[in-house]
Amino acid sequence: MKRLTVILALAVLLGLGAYFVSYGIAQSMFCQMPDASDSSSWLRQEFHLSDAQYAQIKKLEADYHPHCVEMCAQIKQSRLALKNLILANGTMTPEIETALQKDGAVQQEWRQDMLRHFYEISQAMPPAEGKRYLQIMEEQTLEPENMSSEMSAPH
Amino acid sequence: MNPEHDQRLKTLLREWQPKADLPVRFESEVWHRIAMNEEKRSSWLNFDWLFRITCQPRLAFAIVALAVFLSMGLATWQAQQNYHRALADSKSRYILSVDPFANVLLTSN
Repeated sequence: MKRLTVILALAVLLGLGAYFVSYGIAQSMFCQMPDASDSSSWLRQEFHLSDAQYAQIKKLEADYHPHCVEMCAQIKQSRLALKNLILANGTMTPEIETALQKDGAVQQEWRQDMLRHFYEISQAMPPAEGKRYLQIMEEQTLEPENMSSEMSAPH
Repeated sequence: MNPEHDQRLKTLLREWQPKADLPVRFESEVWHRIAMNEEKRSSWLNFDWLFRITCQPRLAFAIVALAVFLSMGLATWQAQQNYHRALADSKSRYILSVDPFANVLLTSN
């Protein structure tokens, strides 16, 4: 009985030790966690960027961010105006048509700005990675089926 | 077979007595073990097999080594799972940071 207890205790202790050591090694060697506070850290890891490339991308992100916030506010405003007009009227009115056109124009501007930014970012990456980045971003942000799934997906 | 030889063999066997010294209570011990074996044979849950394994150094070592290897495999698998989850979260954060429309949807839902 004593022998069995010693062997089982040894198995548990060495097993736990091996678990924590292996977890630490795996994390530091090939599973480095992206920085949760940095929204661009995904780019660095996914596209294997050098420090210089990452610094350039950070600068592009910093330049783009205020514009992105502004676009966000414009889209919100346009959506809200359209929603209010749709709910206030029982039929199609010239005001709704104008609001729809405005909303379309805002969307077009947003897409153009975003795409311009994606091109800038992709050019700061090695060519093959830049192409892959464009492909991912196009799928995630510009394809209509993904946009509608984003709408329903819980975040 | 010769019936005379057969008769002689029978007589010899009847007269033969083993001269080995058996331990005290040998017979009762044998019957006890047989009874125990039959009682426990059907169940793996009594862990008797574990007691028997741990009496053999090689098997005991194998148990410890198996625990270590399984733990290493589990740790590596979990580290990879956590890494992929963190990477997916990081990707979503990035997309939200560059896509104003996704942001609007997130705040309006």
